This record gives sequence, C-alpha cells and structure tokens, in this order.
Amino acid sequence: MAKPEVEKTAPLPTKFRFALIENLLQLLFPDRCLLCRSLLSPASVRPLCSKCDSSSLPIGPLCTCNCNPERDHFQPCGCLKPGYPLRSLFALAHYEGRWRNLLHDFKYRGRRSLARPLGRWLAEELRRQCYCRPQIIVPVPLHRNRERDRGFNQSALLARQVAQELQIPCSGLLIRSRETESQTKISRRERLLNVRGAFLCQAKIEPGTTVLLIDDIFSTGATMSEAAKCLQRSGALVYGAVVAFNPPR
Amino acid sequence: MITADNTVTTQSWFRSILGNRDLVLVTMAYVAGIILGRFWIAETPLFYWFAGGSFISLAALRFFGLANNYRVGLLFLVLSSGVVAFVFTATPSAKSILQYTGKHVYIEGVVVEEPFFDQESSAYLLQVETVETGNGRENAGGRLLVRIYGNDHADFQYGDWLRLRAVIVEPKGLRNPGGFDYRFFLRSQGTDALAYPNPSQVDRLETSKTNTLAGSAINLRQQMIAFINTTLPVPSSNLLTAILFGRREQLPAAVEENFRKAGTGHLMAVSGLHVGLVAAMIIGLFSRLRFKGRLPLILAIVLVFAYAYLTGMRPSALRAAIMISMVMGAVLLDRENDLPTAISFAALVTLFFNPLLLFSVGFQLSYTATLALIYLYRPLDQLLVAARIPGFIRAPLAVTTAAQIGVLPLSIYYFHHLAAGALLFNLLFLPLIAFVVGFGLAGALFGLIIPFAGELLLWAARPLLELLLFISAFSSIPGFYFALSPPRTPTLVITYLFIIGFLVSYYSWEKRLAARKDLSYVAYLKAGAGRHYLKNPRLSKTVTILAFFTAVIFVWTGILFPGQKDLNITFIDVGQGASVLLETPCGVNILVDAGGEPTYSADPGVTGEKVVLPFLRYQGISEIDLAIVTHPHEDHFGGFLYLVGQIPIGGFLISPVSSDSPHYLNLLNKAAGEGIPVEVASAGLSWRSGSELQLRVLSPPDDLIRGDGSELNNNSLVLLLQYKEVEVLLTGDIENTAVLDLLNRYPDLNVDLLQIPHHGGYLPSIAKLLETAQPDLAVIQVGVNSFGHPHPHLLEALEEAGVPFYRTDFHGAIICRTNGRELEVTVTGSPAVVR
Repeated sequence: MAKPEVEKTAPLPTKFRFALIENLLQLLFPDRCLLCRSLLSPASVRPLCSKCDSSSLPIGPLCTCNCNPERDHFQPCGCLKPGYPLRSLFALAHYEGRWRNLLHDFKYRGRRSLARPLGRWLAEELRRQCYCRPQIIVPVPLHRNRERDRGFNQSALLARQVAQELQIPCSGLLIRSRETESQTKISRRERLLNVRGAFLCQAKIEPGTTVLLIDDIFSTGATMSEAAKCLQRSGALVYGAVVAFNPPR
Repeated sequence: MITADNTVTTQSWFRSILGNRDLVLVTMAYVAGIILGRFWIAETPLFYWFAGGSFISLAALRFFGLANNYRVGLLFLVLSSGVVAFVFTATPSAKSILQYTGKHVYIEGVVVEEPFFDQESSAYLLQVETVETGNGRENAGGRLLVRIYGNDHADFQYGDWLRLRAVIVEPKGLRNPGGFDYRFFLRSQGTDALAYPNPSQVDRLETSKTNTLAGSAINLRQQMIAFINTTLPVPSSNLLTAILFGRREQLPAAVEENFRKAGTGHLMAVSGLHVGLVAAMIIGLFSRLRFKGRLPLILAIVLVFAYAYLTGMRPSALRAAIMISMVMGAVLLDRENDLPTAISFAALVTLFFNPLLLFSVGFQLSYTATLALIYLYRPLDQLLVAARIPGFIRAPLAVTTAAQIGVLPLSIYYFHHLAAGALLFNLLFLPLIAFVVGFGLAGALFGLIIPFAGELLLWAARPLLELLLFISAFSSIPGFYFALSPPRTPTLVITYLFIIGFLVSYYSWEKRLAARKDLSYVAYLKAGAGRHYLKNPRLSKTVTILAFFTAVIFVWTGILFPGQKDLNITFIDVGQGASVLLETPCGVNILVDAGGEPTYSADPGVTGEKVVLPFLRYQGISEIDLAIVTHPHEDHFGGFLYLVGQIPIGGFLISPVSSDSPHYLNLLNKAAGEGIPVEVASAGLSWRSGSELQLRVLSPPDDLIRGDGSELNNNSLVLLLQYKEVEVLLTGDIENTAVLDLLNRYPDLNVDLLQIPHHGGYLPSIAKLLETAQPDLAVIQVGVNSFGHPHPHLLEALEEAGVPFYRTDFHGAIICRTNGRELEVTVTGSPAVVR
C-alpha cells in the first residue's frame, strides 16, 4: 500500500539560503574599498570605490619569464623556456605603493578580512578573462610552524575564496616539508636555492589536470615555480594566479 | 544638465556621510517611526510636522537617486513598523491590572525581578496573575510595582508567589513642565501600576523556584555581592557593588552625590566602559596564556553577554555587548567591522524589544556618548596633535573629551547641572576603574570557589576604591558642579544639529585632504566648503529662498510671540500641597509656598528637590526674588527647606502666626544662616512694580483671626495680585472663619482667577465667596490625600456657580498667562501612555 503523500515543506535551496546569509552579513559588515577603506556601493563589482577603481586596473595575464611583461600588452611573450613549470601567470596589481601596504596588512598584520574581497575579485577577473579554466585550485602552502605562528595561511584563504566563487574544488595538495628562511630577507638570487625541494605533493593528480596555483605575491617566481614543479611532476598543467606582481628590475 | 550635476553632488555628499550603510538607514527609519508614534499619542501637532518631514526625506532619497523604489518602500515599511511598535508597547494590554485602578483588590503574582531594599521600604516587581474583587476572581496581566514601607517584612525573594491586598494606583504622568514622566518611565520598564500595601497584608504563597536562567543569574549576583560585602568594609564594598553591578541602593547618598558632581555617575550604571573592560580582560588573559585563533573571541562574546545579563541587561550594557560582539564577529567571519553599522544594529535590537527605551535617559546618554566617541574622536585627535599634546595622554584625552562633548547638552537638559570637572575626574578615574573592574569582578567570582584568592583580589582593589572615594570627594569644591537652566527641547535639537553639521563639514574636508595635503580645515571652510552649492545656480536659488523663509518665520515668531511681556502664574503640581510661581513682566519671580511632603512620610523638603527646583530651573529661573510662606504647614513651606541654599532667595514673607514644628524652626534657622531677610506680613502690606502690577496682602489683619478651625490655616496670608485689569486671589489654607472675615472686610472683592482655599477642603461659605469674588476661573491645588479634598460640596458649589475650574491632581501644573486683559490657561498633562 502506498504511503499517503506527505507534502514536505520544501527547504530553501542551498544557494538561496547562502545568499540570504550573505546578504545579512553584508548588512551587518558592509564591504569596504580595499585601498581607501571607504564603504562600497552594493553595485560595485570590484572591491574598490569608484575613485580607487579608476586609478588601478587589474593587469591580467602575464608572462613569467624575466622579460618585461607589460611590453606586449600582456600577451605572453613566447619566451617561456620549455619546461618552465608555470605556463602563465595572472596578477591583479603591481606590488607597489598602496598595494604593498595592503598585502603587508594582510600577511603580517593579520587583516584576514582582506582575503574575501581579494579572493572574490581575483575570481571575478579570472572568470571574465576565461583564464585557463582550472579544474582544481591549490594554494602555495606555508610550513606548519609558520602557519601556526601567523595563525593562517594567506594563500589558502585566497584560494578558498577563489574556489568558492568559481565553484571549483580547492585542495591542499601541496605541503611545505622543509622550513625555509623568509624569501623577503634574502637576495633574489638566493631565493631559488632557499626553496628548492621545499614542497611535497601529498596525493596523486590525474595527468593532464589543469591546476591553478594561488599565492599572494609573485616576485622572482622562485617559490611558485618550485611549487609548480612539484605539481608538474605529477602530470598537472599548472597556471598561476597572484594578487600582486613584483616585476624584476 | 544642472539636475544631473545636482544629483551627483548630493549623492557624493550623502555617501561621504552615510556610505552605503543600509543598516544605518534602516535604524534611522525605525527610530523616526518610534518618535512619530510618540508624537501621535502625545503631541499630535508635532506628529503632522514630523510625519511630513519623514515623507519628504524619503521622497528626497528617491528624487536624488539615493534609493530606488524598492528601498524607499522598505524604509517606509520600517518607519511604519516603528510607529506600530511604539503604540503597541505604550498601550497597556486589555487584561492589564490598570483596569482596577483605585480599587481595593487581592492580587496574586510572581516576583519577577530581584527586589530592591532601601532604608525605609522594599520594592517588588510583581507579574500579576489573578485579581480578586467583590465580583470574584479573574485572570489579569501586567506588572505591578509593589512598595512596602517598614523593613520588618522585607524578606521576599525573586520567584516568590505573593498574595496581597492593596489599592491599585496609576503612576503619575508628566506633572509639571520639564518634570519627570513617571508613568511613561514605568511603562518603558514594562510596569503598569503601583501598589503600597500594608506589610501585614502581603503573604507568600510559595517560595522561590530559581531554576530559571534569570533566577540563577540573580542568585550568582547576590552571592557575589554578599562575598564583596563580607570581605570589604562598608563604603568600599558598596562602591564596588555599584560599579560592578550598577546596584546603588546600599551606597551612601553622599558618595553617590560626589560621583554625580564629579560627572562620573555613569561609572555606576554598567556602561559600555565596563563591558568593554571585561572583553579586553578576557582577550588579554587569553593572549597571555598564548591562546590564539577563534576560541578566545567566541568565549569573549559569550562572557560579555553573560556579564550584561548578570547586570540586568541595561541598554548601555546591551549596546556594548552587541558592538563588541560585532567587532569580534568581524574577525571571526573575516570581515570588516564598521562602527556606525554596529551601533545601529545595537540600537535596532534594543528598540525592537522595547521601543520605549528610546526616550529613556540612560539609552540616550549611552548612545550619544558612543556616537560622539566614534565621530568626534578624529577631529579632537587632530586638534590635540596640532596642540602638541604628548602621545600617551592624547588618546585618553580625546576619548574622554569626545564622550563629554557628546553628552554635555543632554545632561544639562536632563539634570539641570553642569559638571565642570567631568573631564578631569573621568581622566583620573578611567585607569582606576579599569583595575577596579578587573580585580573586583575576578575577586567576586573567585571568591565563590576559592574564598582566599577572592579575598586577595578584593583587597587588591580596596586601595583603588578608597582612592576613588577620596578623589570624588573633591567634586564638592564649589565651581566643579553648578546649576544651569536646561535648554528647551528645540534648543537641544539645534545644538546637536550644529554638532552634526560640523562633523559633516569636517569629514568632507578629510576627504578633500586626501587630494590636497596642505589644506587646513579653516582654509577649506573659507574657500571651498559651500562653494559647489553656491556655484550651482539652481541650488543657490533654493538656498536663498530657504534662508529668506527662515528669516521671515523668525521675524514673525518674534512679532506673534513676543518674549516675556506677560504675567505668568503657574500653579505647580506638588501633589497634596500648594505652590504658585508668579513671574512678573518685569522679570521678578515670586514663589508663593513650595509644597512639601507631610512630615509623617518623609523629609518635607523632598518636594522642593524633586518638583519645585527642577521646574524653576526649567523655567530658566536662577533666583527667587521673594518667597512667601502663607502659613507654617509642611505642605506649604516644606519645599523651601531644600530650596534655601540651592537657589538664591531675596527674602521671605511669612505669616504672623508661627508654629513650633521643628521643620519650620529649621527653615527659619536656615534662612537666617544664609542671611535671607525674613519679614512678617499682615493685611495692608503691598508691593508695587510699575504702575500696572501690584501685590497686596489682604489677610490676616493685624489682630489676627481667631475662631473655629485651625489657627494656622485661618491666618494664612491671602494675596491679591493685580495686573492691569486682571486680578488673582491666592488664598493659602484659610478656612470658613477667615473667608467670612475677608469677605467682610473686602465686600467689593472681584477677581478673575481664584485659588480655592485649603486644597478644596470643606468650606461652608464657598457659595458666598464665589458670589462675591465672581471668578472667571478657579484652581484647586490638591493631590492624593486622606482628608477628602476636594470636598464634594465645594465641587457642587463651583458647578452651581458655573465657574470653570482646574485641579492639579487631574491637570498637572496649571499655567495662566495674562497680558493684563485676557487670561490664557494651559495645563500640563501627559497622555504619552494611553490609558
């Protein structure tokens, strides 16, 4: 005998529920401009107020070699050495002036609240420019001790936000097996040596998977290329995305 | 083209103030709705003005493109819900105990708050369950404030089920202009009515069940207070209890007075400061213990609310708890905190549960202080930097000054005093209080588990408490605290509008500063602040037209309502008693009697403190030129006991018959001590001011009045005030003999306004008095009494004679204004709470 049909009160669709909470939080904690901290209008796509928005445009995909990346209107210059682990790099801004302060706030002064707008903006730009269509997103890891000291891993926060926005899985595939000296304290040349072999891939990746590697800053590319190398060995196609690009001088 | 420019300017101006803080807008709409609700009930003419203003603001939002239709609709909805919320909470329920007002009933109910005990009485807040009348037992609701005089029965506790027999009394609303609306105050606490049962008529049916959350909070608080009281000696322990929990009833009045004079009364009201300190201590403790991450934050949020709950969820504590949770919540959720949004949210939550709190002094002071802190801090800090104040003192100085500037107009408005030393004392007390709260709270908590540790911590707090007591005593030095006439409400509003205007210009300057580093604020004001308005032809036209109309309105108000050119006679509502204030056109203030409590219940001077002086201050009177005591009964001279020494008095005029009442002798001594001349008056004495105003003493004659009735009453001074064509007769407490004598001596007495003698007591000759005096209007100064005043016979006589009359027990203060020809009467009433 068939059970009588019980009309279920349909639960709110997850997405809708999420939007509801999001809206509520938006009301309680309104978003601010990343640079000048004034409140944003709800219509703004980027986490920048109209004044700051016009003064800083995202710089988009870059070439990762040491040539001048902006010369050819951000087209990959084709000078990528075969075998360079990162196929291309995407950056939001140059690492200078207010952006430098911003990322310092984020990394060293624990302003974790920056992860959300930065991650969302990065995701927005990646989507708009159809950058690499990644299947999985991986943050550049910190060593366990460093992460405990800082309380968080800024790249992981960014990656999670980007993944959530793009609806792609985010995975901590990489771990930092060796504690390295801070890249900021040593010369550009020493950096490559410093991070060599510092990363370990935890799990197998299906060969041919497109992986988006996320970090906060790209300077010499030592850290990122080392991490990318590690992923590449498992057969992944690795692309990079960062908030700020520190062009070689 | 112009419109577009116009819109853009307004938008950016609007953004610079509000940003896109939707919650701020919502809260503002809700608050406006609550104010609208109050105007609707209490002051209908203002309602239309305010409602019009609100709708114009909403329309302006739409017109300038600051909000779309959807948002404007939403704000309108919020506004309306504010109106509804206010009206709903301000109206007692149909089942309320109020419907039994004036009746002797049996009441059963539960004590729902921790009782208050003071020297002479105990007070219980009773949730009424059933009421028993002659018609049987009925269910009823509402809360009843039960005050029992005499301490022998003061042993009921929270949660007790009581049965009592009492008369239900409706609390008094606004009695005098600028006075305190007790009914509205109680209503905002959720209390409907009062009862003063005899101690022998209160029984406990069941003892308390304290298994509820509120019960255990009260229990914990009581245990902590008990521990403090057993550990520390008396003034320190009471001060600590007052600081930690805001419970002041055990605190010596002198200490409380000192703190108030120092402008630090907020330390005893569980302000945001305390809650903030608790949060800071928790976070500090955890970071000392090397805890990181989210746990300390979550714990701090929980404990902050626990502390607010423990101290009774006052608006200030709740505000602080919500704002602190939002700051920590922002960190927890990786978001940016926004203080204006946080304070709006706190206000919204508080007013959602109780919209009436918007009008409570505590709420207003707490929110104004915090808003001032948020917005005034930066300009002040800038100023201090410019003044080269060293860094370590700059932040506390800026914080304290900001809060003080913010609450200054409000506190003068409410308390009629200026605490000139507030800044100094707050700066001194701030660090002390931090340690007192830390040691005290930790000590009282530890004391429940490890008494030894608790004692140690409390003893550590003791020298600080002694220091607080010591420093606060300096506030009684003259000059630190002086009386001021409070501003009228429009002045207050305009003052705050000016502060807001300054802040708007300051912050728009700060925005400009980002572009031009060398622009000083003054230069900005001179050169550019208003320029983009005036540059715009349409806007500048609007501004000109507005300015013109404002000027026209000012001129016309000046013509239509000229300043003090009239004679004002105010019959102050002092309860059972009499007090009449005469303000002559040339600025002389004469106070005829000052009310007073009957001796058997309390200090007779209380009326002077609570009723007469606040009214005088509100009227802007800083000196009484002549004080007249019609006769030496406490309900007439009592108030002067307090007034002497508080306000300069030019001289006393007293009745020839003296009394041996110790209070009266005390008054005469005090007057002598202050060097105030005291003159005995009798019939024939008169005082003239110009050719148009004359005050004459008509009675008693030199040989006094002897006969039936009270000698003191019959020999009351009877005063005739003549101003051009208007005559007013003030009669004191004369009885039949004196009335007949008066009519005998002045057969052609003809007055316009008559004060009915002796609070409307039985007067056989009333018909004759009315017939002779032919008053256009009569006033009975009477309150709740056991003498049967006013006598029904007298009321009948008034009706028969067709004399309209006002009663202070019905109408509150009765204000008569005359230009010497017409007499215009207004009464003070407070229909703010629907009966």
